[in-house]
Amino acid sequence: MRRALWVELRRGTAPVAALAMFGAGVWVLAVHPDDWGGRWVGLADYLRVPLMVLCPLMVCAGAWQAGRERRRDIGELIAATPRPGWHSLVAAWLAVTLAGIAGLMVAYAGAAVLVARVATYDGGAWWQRASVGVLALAAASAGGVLVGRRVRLRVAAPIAGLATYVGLTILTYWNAPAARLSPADTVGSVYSLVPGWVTGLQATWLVALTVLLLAVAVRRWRVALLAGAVAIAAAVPINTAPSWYRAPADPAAVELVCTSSGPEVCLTRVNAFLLDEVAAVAQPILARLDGIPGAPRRAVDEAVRPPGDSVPEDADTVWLPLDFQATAFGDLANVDYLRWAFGQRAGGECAYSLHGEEFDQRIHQVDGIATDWLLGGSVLGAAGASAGLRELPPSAQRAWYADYLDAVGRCDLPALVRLAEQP
Amino acid sequence: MTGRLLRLHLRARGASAFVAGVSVITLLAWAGGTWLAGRSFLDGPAARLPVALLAPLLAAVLLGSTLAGADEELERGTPLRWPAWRAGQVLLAVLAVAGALVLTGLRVPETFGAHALARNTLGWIGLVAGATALLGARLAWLPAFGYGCAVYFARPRDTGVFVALWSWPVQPSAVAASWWAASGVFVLGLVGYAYRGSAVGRRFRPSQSRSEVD
Amino acid sequence: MTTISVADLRVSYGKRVVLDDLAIELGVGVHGLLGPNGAGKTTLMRVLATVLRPDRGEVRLLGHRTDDRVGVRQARRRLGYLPQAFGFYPRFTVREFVEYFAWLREMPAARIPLAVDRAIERVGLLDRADDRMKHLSGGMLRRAGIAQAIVNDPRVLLLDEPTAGLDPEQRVEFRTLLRELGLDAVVLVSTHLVEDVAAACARVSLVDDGRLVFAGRPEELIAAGGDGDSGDSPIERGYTAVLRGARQVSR
Repeated sequence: MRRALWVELRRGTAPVAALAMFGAGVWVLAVHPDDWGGRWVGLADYLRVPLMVLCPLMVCAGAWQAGRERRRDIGELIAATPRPGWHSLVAAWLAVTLAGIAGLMVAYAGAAVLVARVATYDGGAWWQRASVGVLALAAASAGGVLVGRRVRLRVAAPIAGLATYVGLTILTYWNAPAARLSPADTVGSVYSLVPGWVTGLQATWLVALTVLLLAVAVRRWRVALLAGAVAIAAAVPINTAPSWYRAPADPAAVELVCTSSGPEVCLTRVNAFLLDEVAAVAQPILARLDGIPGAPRRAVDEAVRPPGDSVPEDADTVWLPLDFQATAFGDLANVDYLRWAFGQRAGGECAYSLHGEEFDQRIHQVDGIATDWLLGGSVLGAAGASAGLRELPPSAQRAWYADYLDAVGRCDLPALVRLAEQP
Repeated sequence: MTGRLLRLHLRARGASAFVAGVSVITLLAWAGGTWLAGRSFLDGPAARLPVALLAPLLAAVLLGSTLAGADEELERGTPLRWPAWRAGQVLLAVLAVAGALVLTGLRVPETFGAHALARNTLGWIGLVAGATALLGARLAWLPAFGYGCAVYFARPRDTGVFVALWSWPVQPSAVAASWWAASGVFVLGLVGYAYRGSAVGRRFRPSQSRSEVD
Repeated sequence: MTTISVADLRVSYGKRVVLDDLAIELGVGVHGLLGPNGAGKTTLMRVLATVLRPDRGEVRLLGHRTDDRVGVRQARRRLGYLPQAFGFYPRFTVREFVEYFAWLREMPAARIPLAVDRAIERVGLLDRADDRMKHLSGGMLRRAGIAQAIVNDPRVLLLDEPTAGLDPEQRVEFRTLLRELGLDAVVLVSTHLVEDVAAACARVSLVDDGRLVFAGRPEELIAAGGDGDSGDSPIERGYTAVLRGARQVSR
């Protein structure tokens, strides 16, 4: 078997599969680095999302490899040899699978080096989540092998690939429990702990599916029956279990890491690698608010924000959205987006809740002045709005802002209109 | 006589299987588009995207296998005006596929992406024809398949002429640059295929070389 | 000693009967299989190679019945087969191609490297052993095909038109190889080139229209021909005479 595997690895579809998967891996990692930058769990989950593209590639490679006997018209020669058919088929499948996975892993190893440099949290069972993705690739190439062996069509490989694509897309769009059988269906978020039994069931389902597909390809019906039974046994609980989209939070992942000096900025351990850069943005703004009655005193990672909590009810804290905020190198991706978390919209929200769309537009204006003053004048849409306010002495500026917060807190619209005209 | 020749040529290239395949794709595109448009969480342009991208791509992949005969060199040794025949075949295929697919989307062109279907038919068939000239009919599906997967996954969010040029298959049909890109690919592919035909690899077969002896 | 024994063989494709009521016994040595196009030579080869299942009849290879699953696997281990039109993997080198078939024939792993080199050497391809198959000429491909057929030192070797594509010099060398192989194996060579049979075969069988019409030594075939028969060599005249005789009988 080792001999045949070695020949297939060098001369079969395997080298092409490795190259294609490497290219695809680099591509998917490059188009959305904000999904995985700096986070081990993010990188592991990001092995799952692109399965929508990677699985069709593996199906294609498997089908191309298994269709070779027919393409090259070698069936006659092989039929006269004593070795059972499944030996060469498994060798061919193994070669494509190993090569494809290796190619992808090279791409992900590059990303892993980038993550390892900065990551601040290495728990969250990330490698279990990743291995389900790897098993899915093996199942995909087994599906391809089945198609290549059984379908006589010349374009069987690309059509099988596109069909897989369509199938996975439908599963993604389909809001039904069956969608959870798709390996591209990610579980939970980087902040949650996926229960071990979920990963276990998914792995069982994919392994059984792989064996089933290979067994059907070589017409080993008894093995196929057994594997099919195991696959169903794993698929049923996946389908009937309560939804795991709200998987329990991972307490170690959401543990807060805070700045030791200056105004308090706290990020979850998962995002703590961004702390210095976030603090550099957030601390000057918080320092500007220091001592103003009713102003927020600290900025905290939005991941730990209690559900349903809105800004006016917890004026003490500004919530920072950090989910797509890391570059591939673990830097802060978008400073403006982060600063915008400090933007003031409370006046407008307040007026909207009382009057709907019909309210004095000067209330938007006063929000803009407050935002521009707070962020130092570089916010889209409100730039320069606070020029008048800034001409006042510093103590008067702070007094104006305190009045603004007070008026917003009471939802006092006339007071807000007055504030818009005052400076 | 030409009619009979045409029939034989179509048979040699597997035209009936292609027509059957395109019919199935058209039905699937119609059903898929309707299903997607009915999803509550998708609005028009997002709903049409998978169908507008994949249906013409599948049709183009099917066309790929009809772009070469059983023995390309045997055909080239004949005095027929092959560039015209090849170009005619590609143009006919574009008309047939685009016609069939656009019909599935014309109910509500914006929701079902009727115009995007036509543009993508043009682009994908051009890409497959060009790949046939470079790689041979056997592997002609490869670039279109890889490119389709890559573009669909990337689905760029930013707009701009450059982005619209490389991501033409996923652009709304109102973006002019996407039409320019698809038409450019089509013209290049058509011209390349018409003049070069399917690429021929160096391939000896004992069964063929035996004819030298027998 | 009889190593191939066929009795009461009948094979048909749909309604067309290709081999009918055919019986043949072959022992160690080189056997030529002659016959016009469409006579059923290739079909007989495919049946003996265990690739095609006959409608009826008993086929024994090396004492194993080919309709028995265990027996057929035993027989295939000692079987070498080169089909008339054989496929190959163009990206494989000659060595890998032969090695792959050694593995498929379930040779013990330890014996494979030596056996592969020996097989390639015997067909005279050792200097091209590490070239890709796609870079070989037609004659070289045919020799690579012969190499894969003899790699497992088969006791039964079936060669369907092995000399097609070989140049005259190679054909002479190939006949020497055939005689060598025929010392301890039953070698069945199907061919259109009757001179090959005269030069290399100890026995010859002639098939026409699905029936065995002649079995004997080449000299007996030569003796069957007279001056009035068409052909450029004595054995060709014998060949046409036997065929004509068989066709007259069947009418």
